[in-house]
Amino acid sequence: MFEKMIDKSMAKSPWIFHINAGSCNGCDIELVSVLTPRYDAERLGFRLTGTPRQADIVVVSGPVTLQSRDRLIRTLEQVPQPRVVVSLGSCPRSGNVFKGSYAIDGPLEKWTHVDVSVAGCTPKPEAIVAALAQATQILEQKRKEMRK
Amino acid sequence: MLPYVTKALSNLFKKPSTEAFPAGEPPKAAPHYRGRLHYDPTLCINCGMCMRVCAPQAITREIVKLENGDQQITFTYDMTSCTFCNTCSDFCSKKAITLTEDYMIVGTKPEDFLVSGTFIKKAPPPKPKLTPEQIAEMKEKAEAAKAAKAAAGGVAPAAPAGEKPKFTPEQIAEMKAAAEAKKAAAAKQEG
Amino acid sequence: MNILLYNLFYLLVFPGLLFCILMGVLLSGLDRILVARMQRRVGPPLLQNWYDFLKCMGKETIIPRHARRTVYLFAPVVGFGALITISLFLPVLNGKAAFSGNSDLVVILYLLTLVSVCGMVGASASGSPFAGVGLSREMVAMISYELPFVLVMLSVSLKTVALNPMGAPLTFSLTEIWNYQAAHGPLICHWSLIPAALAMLFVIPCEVGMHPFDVAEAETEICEGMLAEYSGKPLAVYKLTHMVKMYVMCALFYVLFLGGLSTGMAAVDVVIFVLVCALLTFLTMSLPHAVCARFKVEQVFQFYWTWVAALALVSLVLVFFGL
Repeated sequence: MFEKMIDKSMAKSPWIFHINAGSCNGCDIELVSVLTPRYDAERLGFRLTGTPRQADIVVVSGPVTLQSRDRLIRTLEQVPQPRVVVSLGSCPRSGNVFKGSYAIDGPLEKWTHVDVSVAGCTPKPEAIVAALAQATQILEQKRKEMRK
Repeated sequence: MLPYVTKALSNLFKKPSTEAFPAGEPPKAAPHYRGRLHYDPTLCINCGMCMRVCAPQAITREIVKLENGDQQITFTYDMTSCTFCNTCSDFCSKKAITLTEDYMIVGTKPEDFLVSGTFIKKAPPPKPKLTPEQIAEMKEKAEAAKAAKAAAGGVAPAAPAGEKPKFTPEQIAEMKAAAEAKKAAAAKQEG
Repeated sequence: MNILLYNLFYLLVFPGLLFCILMGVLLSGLDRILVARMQRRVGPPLLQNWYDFLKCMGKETIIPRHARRTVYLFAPVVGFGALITISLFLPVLNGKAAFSGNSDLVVILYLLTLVSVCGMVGASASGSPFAGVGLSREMVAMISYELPFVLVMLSVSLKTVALNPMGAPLTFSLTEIWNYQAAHGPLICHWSLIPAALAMLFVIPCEVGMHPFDVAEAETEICEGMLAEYSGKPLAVYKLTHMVKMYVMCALFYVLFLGGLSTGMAAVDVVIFVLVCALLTFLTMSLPHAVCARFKVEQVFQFYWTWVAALALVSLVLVFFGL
């Protein structure tokens, strides 16, 4: 019964950790605005954590630059299971306008499995909320699979 | 400090200013919002202008030759690559590309982010094919015509192209007078 | 046999584990909702912190390579145990506590310190530089609030002994303090102790580590500070400790300054107690959280050693001269 309660609360308290992998700061601002009174993601249990060790959902923004690549991989490794990776904006999935640059070593899928993506340059906060809500469902599924 | 405290206390009794979104319908985007791209293949003429102006190279074109000589052309717009700058729409002479107000571009698979359209470009109508007998008949006819002309008295063929048209002396004088009048007018203006 | 059963009941159910967790979850949930409403947000559900706790229980527990395994895992448990022990000393209902003696206040003071020290020990065992910074900050915060806290306790004990016929120089027994209040009215109604009550109100958020004074757990500056390396079950215990600490501090204020009130019916008393705890949570934790930005470390120190300590000292001097 306790395990079932844990399963249920998995989707109710997702903590977000945000990694900036060379983003232009546009998506980062939109992610923070998700927590403002207008969109208030906290009512769904979201909370921004300061350390990857406590995170459930890792939000990555930016095309993966050479400088940030090793740090990104190291940070992703520190997130305990079950975890969900969300790519924010167009950059992590494709490189966007930075595509083909010598400083880019993307896309993000080359380095980790991306569960949910939001496209947009930058996405609207509503789209981010929808993506995060989808990520919580995946989180619950992963927890159930982990238990088996 | 005090104004903040009073503001906080008065907020306690006000309705929250939060959107109800994940519960209900997503709110409408602002007018002229540039969201998910819409492509109408029936209007497209395959000029490729959108591909040329796209900075993040989000547009790909695939041309498949069909058996009957037609071309099946597929344009694919990758939304995870798009910057939503609207340049492709601006440059599209047939207005086949528009950016809609749908901003909810969320998905788990790459296919969720692709917008594509296919149309078939008809090949130009083929030249009518002639049987060898017909060709031989036509050749015979042409030769017969030549022979008939030669027999008629060897009239020279039509004047070769590029030769100057011939004017009568009156026409030449007229043109000269007009040119002089022009020169005079120009001189007057300069003076 | 009966005594053993009663003790088990005390320990596990009424003032002990279950009641503490229940009150901690409710009060911290209330705090989050109130803060959200003051910022015109909807806020999380009331049981959000309970969900957080459950979720942390279900996560993978990572032990960093540089960590001292045993200390790292057991420090949070020891801290939580110390906190539950405090609740057994608090006579929240009709002046009866599970444990009581002559020096309850001193024990509580040390146990509260033990809770913070356990946090620090766990942080230092995790081997993270961020935890190190958080640890040093927590130490500064502890030094800041301990002085006014001790002064408040001294003035309360001096006041209750001033008219005490027993003739002891000081009393640190919470039961005696409760009895004094039952006879003379709650201590907050004695004007000489109002500054001390104010000082105590300021001590509560810093002791709990709530927002304007949470220098040790600054999320954005030092990656959650002391909890930087914690994940999974130890983190869940830390979060629970944090919640229960809110309840324990509110209950301590209730016992020290609002005790002695009794309607005769236990159920009504409990309801009043819960309401007072909720009001204290709003006043001392939610309101500063919604209004203030986080203080710097030296600002916390300065604030507590000047203003708050001065308030407590005024009370002590007034009480000393028998007012």
